[in-house]
Amino acid sequence: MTCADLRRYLSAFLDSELDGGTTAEVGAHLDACPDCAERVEAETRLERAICERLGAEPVRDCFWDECRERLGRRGLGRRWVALAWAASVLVAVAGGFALGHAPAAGAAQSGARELIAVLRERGREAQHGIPAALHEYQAVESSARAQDLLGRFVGDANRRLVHLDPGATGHGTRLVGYGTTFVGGEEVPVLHYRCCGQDLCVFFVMPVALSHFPGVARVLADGRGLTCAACPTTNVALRVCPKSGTVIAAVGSGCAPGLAGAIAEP
Amino acid sequence: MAIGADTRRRQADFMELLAPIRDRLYRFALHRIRDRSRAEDALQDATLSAYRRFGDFERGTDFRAWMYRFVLNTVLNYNRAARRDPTVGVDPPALDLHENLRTGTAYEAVLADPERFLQHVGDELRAAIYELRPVEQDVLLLRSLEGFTYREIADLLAMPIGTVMSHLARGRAKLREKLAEYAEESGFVRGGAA
Repeated sequence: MTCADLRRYLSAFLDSELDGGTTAEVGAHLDACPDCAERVEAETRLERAICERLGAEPVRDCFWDECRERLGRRGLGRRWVALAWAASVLVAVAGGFALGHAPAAGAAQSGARELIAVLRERGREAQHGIPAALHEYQAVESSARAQDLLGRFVGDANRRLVHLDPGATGHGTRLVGYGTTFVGGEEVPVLHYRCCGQDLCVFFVMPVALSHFPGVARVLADGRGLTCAACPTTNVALRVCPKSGTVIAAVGSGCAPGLAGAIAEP
Repeated sequence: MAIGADTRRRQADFMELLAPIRDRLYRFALHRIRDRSRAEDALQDATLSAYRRFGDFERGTDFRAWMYRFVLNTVLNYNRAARRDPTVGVDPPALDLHENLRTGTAYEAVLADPERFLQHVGDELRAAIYELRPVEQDVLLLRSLEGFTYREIADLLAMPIGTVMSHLARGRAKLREKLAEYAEESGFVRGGAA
């Protein structure tokens, strides 16, 4: 075995993955070649130091507690989602939502106020450590991007997003936050979903054009006058009314049952 | 909503199996998805997916490998969604750990005192790993963090052992090149490479 041969086997030798015969050949070469022996010893130290360094990354203290709670709260997640669905139905009804009909501004605002009240009440039940008030900007890690999206959407300093316990909404799609923001002087509720790393911000009862939704992952227009947002990975599609901004359906493979529960049916 | 006794037991069983490996899963996700928040999202999703399929797990078999399948798939999906893991071709096999490594003062200085160097490197080690090809990251981390054998890695990633060896050697070689570059740029080595 030459020194060049040894270099080819070095990676597997460090992992003790060479067969018996090759290991013996490597050993014999190391016995005869002090330079290679010194190199192997140094590489072994480096590899060990890299492994130790990689394994020293801190794990956030509460992460596994949150994970355990999420497993255990799958029922509660559905309950919250059902509550949101009920609230959105209330909004849709109050907003006079129907395909092709523009909701009356006053009714829409009334519906928004109803949902805001529901969300604030829910906020007070939120997990310890999550601010119950909706009056402070919370740069919660998972919602930093959502806040950026909200900022670009409304261009309004009054954006508020509170991190909510993740709802169990199924494969890839989950509710990660909610809050309110102001559009045209009216406070409107916002639900923040995340689907496979994409942020989808859904606004209820929005008196603005849907083209102002930069947070939607992909916006398509279909022949029925509805616009759709779709996660490019799971293909969960949200059909959003362009007039009210209300999400009215979720379709496609990987559709999350919990998400569907949060959506108002026309 | 009350949780039944069966469900509680199931959760407890799952968490008990998860306990010895969970922090290494966390670090794996963190090294593969650099943003901590997204890494945590991915790991939670993977954990939830695994929990839902816990009924399929055969007690007495390798829970660690079973769990890693969910994490690997979820990480892949997250990175693809973020356009982070493009479809890649296959490099020609290379097993020489130092194939691309310029020999010189910098790397020799790293080898002379790797522990001190890695303390000096700080977060650059993670950055260097993140620049590897996704499959090289997977193989390197599965080996270095979890100590999977080549056979186990080959099974997890559905590739031949020889391919695992190639990716691992290439990933290590690239990593060493990055570390040598950093040693020069950061002043760990006085006077630059020979």
